[in-house]
Amino acid sequence: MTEPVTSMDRISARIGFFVGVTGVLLLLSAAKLAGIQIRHHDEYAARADEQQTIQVRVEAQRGEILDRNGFLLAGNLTSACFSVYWPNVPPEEVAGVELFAEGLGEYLTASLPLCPTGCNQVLASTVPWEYAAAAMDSMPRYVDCSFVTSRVYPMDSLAAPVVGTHSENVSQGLEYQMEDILEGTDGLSYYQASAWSGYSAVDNEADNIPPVNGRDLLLTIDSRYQEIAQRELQAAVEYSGSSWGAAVLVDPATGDILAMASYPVFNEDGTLARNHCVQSSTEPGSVFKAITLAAALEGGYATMADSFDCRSSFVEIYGHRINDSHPVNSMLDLTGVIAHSSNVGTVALAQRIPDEAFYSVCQSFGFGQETRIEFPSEQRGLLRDPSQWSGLSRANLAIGQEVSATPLQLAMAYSAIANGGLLLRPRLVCATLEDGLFRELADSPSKRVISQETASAVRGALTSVVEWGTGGSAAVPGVTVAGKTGTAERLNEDGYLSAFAGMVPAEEPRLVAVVVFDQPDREYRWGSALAAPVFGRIVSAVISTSPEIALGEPFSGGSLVAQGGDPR
Amino acid sequence: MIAAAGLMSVFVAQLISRNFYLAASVDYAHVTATTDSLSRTRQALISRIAVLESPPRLREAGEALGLVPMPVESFMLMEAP
Repeated sequence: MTEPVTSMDRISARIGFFVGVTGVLLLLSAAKLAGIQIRHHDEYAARADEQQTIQVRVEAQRGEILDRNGFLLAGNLTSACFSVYWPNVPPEEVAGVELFAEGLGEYLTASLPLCPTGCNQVLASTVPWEYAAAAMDSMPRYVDCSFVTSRVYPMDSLAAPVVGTHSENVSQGLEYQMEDILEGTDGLSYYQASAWSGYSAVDNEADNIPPVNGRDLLLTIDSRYQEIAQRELQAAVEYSGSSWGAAVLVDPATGDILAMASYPVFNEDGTLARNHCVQSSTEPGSVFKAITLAAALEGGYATMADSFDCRSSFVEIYGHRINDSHPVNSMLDLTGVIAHSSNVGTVALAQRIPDEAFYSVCQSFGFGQETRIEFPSEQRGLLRDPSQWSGLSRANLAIGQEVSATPLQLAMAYSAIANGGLLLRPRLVCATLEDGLFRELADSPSKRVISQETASAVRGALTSVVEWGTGGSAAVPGVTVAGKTGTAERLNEDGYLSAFAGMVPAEEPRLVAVVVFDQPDREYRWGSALAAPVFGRIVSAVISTSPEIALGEPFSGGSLVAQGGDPR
Repeated sequence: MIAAAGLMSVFVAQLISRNFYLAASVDYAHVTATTDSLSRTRQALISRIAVLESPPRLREAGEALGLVPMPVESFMLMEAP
C-alpha cells in the first residue's frame, strides 16, 4: 500500500524541483559566463576594445624661447574653435546655440541670426583661451570645441630677426635652427568611451605614451638692447633710404650676441626677410683697415711710430689709381693713417706685409669662414687665396675691397681686438632647460689671433678715430669709444655701403657693436654720416639702460639665470 | 551548485572592482582636464605678462608718464676713495 502524498511532500518536491532548475540555470549561466570570460575572453575583449577605446594624440608643447634675463621671446598660446554640426541639432535647441554664439561677442565669425542649414558651421575660430575657458562653461551640448596651439611673440617684429617664426608648416630663423630641441614628441592616450559625454575615462591599462615637451631655450640676447638696436635701425633705414640695415651687439669677453637687429624684418609678401647680420656679406670698406693694421703690427712689419707719406691724394698700384676720399696732404704716423682713414697710407702699410702673412692674419680673424653661430644659412663671405690674387689685390684687401664679410664676422673680429686678441665663436643660445633646470651650454674654445700688445695698439688707433678722426659722430658722452668708419663701393652693383664698427669703453671694452647700411641715399653714403651716428645712438641708449657697461663691468645676466634654474 | 555560486561571486566581485576602477578613471580624466585647463590659463597669463613687460610696451608706458632713461651725460664716474 502506498503512502498518501502529503502536502509536505508536494512542497518538498516543488522546492527540490525549483532548486534543481535554479541549479541548472546557475550552472548554465556559469558555463556561459565561463565561455565568455575564459574560453572566448580574447575575442570579446578585442571586440570591446574596438568599440570602446578611442585613441587620442596628445600634443607636445613646443619649447619656449627666453632672453638672457628670462623674458619670453617666443611662447605658446591656446585658442579655441567653436563649431556646430547642424544635422545633429534638434529644432528646439537652435535658440540655445544662437544665444551661445551671441555670447562669443567680438570673436564670433558667423553672422547672426544663424542659419541652421548645411552641415558644419564654424562659430568662432580663434577665441583666446582666457575667454574660451569661460565660454565653455555655458557651451550647449551640440556645440563642438577644438583647441589650436599657436606660437606667440610678445616683442612682435622686434625680436623676429633673431627668433624667426614658426607656423604649422614653416619655421625660420632660430625656430628652424633649433627645431630638434624646441620640438617635442607627441604622445598617445587611449580612452574608454562612454555613452554619456563627459564620462569617458583614460584607459590606464593601455600603453599610453606621455608627450615629451620640447626644451626651452635661453638666449644670450638682451631684449632691451634688441629693442633699442631694432628701433634705431628701422628709423635710420627709413630716413637714409637704405635698402637694408643691420646691427650686431656682442659681449667681447664671451662672444655672447646681445642684440642682432636687421631691417626690413619682413618681405613684401609677409615672409621673414633675411637676417642681414648673418645672411648678407658685403665689402667692409675702411672698417677692414683695423685688420690691416693688426696684421702689420703682429708680423713686425711696422710700428705705431712709423711715418707714411700721405702728401699725395692718390697712389698708383699696377696702373690703377687708389684715391683718398679725404686727402690729408701730410706725413702721418699709423694712428693718423687710421684716424684719417687714409687709403694712401694704408696701401703703403700693406705693401710691407707679404701676401701669405696678410692672408693668414685675415683668415685667422675668421674672414672667409662661417662663424658657426646657431643660425641657419650663414654666409661665409669672401677671402681669396693669395694664389688667386692680382697685383692689385693686396692693396684692395688693405682698404676692405676684394673681401666680403657679414656684419657678424666684423663684430667677432672687432671683439678679438677688444678682448686682447682672442677670436671667439659667437654664441646665441646660452642654455637649454633640462629636468626643470637651465643647463648652460659649454663655451667654445677661443683662438688667439693677435697678441695683447697688438690688440692694445689697434684699440689706441681706433680711439683716435672717434676722438679726432673720421668717426667723431660715433662719440658717446661720458665714455671713450674706439671704432672705425667704413664706406665701400659695392662691387657689381651701384651704390655704397655705410658701416661703423666700434667698442666701449675703449680702455676695457665690454660692448662691441657693428652697424651696416646698404645702399643709402648719396648724402648718407659715408660711414661717418650714417652708420657712426646710429652706432652712437644705440650705444648711448644701451649705456643709459645698463650704466655698468661704461664702468667696464662684465655682463651678469644669462649665466646667473642659468645657474639659478627656471627664471619664471 | 556551491561551485557555481562561488564562480558567480567571483564574477560579481570582478564587476564591482571594475566599477570602482572606472569611477576612479573618470575622476582621473576630470583632474587631467582641469590640469590642462590650468596649464593653458598659465600659458595665456605668461604671454600676457610678457606683452605687458616687453621693452616697447614699457617704453610706451614710460613715455606716456614722462619717464625716459637718463641721458648718458647725466652719469659721472667718481674716483674710488
